[in-house]
Amino acid sequence: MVAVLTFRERSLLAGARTPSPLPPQAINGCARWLLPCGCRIRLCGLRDRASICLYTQYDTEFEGAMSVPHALLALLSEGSKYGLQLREEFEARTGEVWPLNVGQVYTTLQRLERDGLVESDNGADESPQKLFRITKAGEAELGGWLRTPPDLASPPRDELVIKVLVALHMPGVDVPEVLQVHRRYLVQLMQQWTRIKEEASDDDLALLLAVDAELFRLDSVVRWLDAADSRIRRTPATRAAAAAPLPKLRRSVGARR
Amino acid sequence: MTALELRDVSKVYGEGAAKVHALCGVSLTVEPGALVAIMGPSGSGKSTMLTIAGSLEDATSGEVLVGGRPLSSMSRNERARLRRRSIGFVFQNFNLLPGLTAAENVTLPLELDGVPARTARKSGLQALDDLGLADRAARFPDELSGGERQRVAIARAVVGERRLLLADEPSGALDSVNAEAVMRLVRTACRGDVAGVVVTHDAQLASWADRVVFLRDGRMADQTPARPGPESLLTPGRGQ
Repeated sequence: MVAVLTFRERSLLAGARTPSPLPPQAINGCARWLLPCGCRIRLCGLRDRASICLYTQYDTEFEGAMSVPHALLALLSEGSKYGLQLREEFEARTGEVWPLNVGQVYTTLQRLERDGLVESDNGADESPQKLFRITKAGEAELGGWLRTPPDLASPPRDELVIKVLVALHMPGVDVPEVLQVHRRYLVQLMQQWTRIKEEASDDDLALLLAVDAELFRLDSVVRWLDAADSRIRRTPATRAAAAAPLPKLRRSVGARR
Repeated sequence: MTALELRDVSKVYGEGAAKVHALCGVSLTVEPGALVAIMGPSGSGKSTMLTIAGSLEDATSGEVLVGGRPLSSMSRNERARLRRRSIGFVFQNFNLLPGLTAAENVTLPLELDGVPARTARKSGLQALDDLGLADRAARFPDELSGGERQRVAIARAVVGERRLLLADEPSGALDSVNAEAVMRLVRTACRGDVAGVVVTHDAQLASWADRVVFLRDGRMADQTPARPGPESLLTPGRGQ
């Protein structure tokens, strides 16, 4: 998902961390930052003004979660397109995070055509001017992919959970104090995302959805911290100290890497 | 002049073995135009803090100043006037009077304060209009949705010359879209001379505030620094 920030946000972001004045090569080129939360921001040039695109964790995981064929089918679902056009749009929407060469595009299109998921006009086989369109079968394949849940069955390797579990076993560590350090950091992050939402235009749906996703994700971590805090406080110190070894979640259910 | 100041405020309920320290030496300063969120689990003292700040309850010790004036120096009548004129309250359960229309609910505090009915109604309708409720003015609370009721409650809290907005879980009973709408209104209200304090256990609500104060067992456990701007999300040099 790519969300374009409001002009004020762009100014704020551009003014805050990029060299001032912004060098022409930065304006006309592309600069990227990775946010602490794993999101990515790209500053790209639009001559006289800077444009910042916001990439959420969903973009950083885009490569693993979405195949090139499905990406091309998604682009073709908007209407018929040429091969070169598909490559340009693909790169634009993935913020050049995932460059594609023309060969890759045409190889994939050939496979999709072979499988009956796209069809082309009768132009020359390898011509860049060949127009592709999605078929009914391609629409069904894309619809199926959209509705296939991602693998959330096994718990991820969560650094925060690991830290808290480790802290439980360390003598002299005030675990609620450790929880509070993380809670404060998360709430601060949420304040920053809310600020972006506050400044966003009502019709900037992509940005609002992306920010909501981040806020709900961070909120769920804060809620876990609150629940952990409450549970730890209710557990007598002696029991906590003698708690069982760290749970072997990975062995039993398989943690995601 | 600060909008609200709590100096070493403590509150004790009960006596002897039943004694409960709801607040223990809490100090807080809220500047005009600022929105502060108080976060904490149930029983941490956050609602007690709000009722003491709003002069609905007396502190056992310590000092509370609203608009620079110590509550301890005010008579009972002066405090009642302060609550009518300068402090707006928003509660989770709206606390609208069911027998009055939205407009009458909003204008009631002004009329109680001696404002002529016509002037009060004009101000009330303006407040409702500002919150997008002009067409709901003649409706009774039970004819309004939860989100609309809370917007009426906010209109009632900001109407007139209020300087301090105190909200206790203002969107607790609402879905996330209506909760956000309510917090946008609270955020918008806290500009210029108006300050706000929101009590909540919900981090999403608290994240609308300039500063978040964490309360634990009646004590201020921690707080975030001044509200960070979105630019600080950027970490230069990473991911390039």
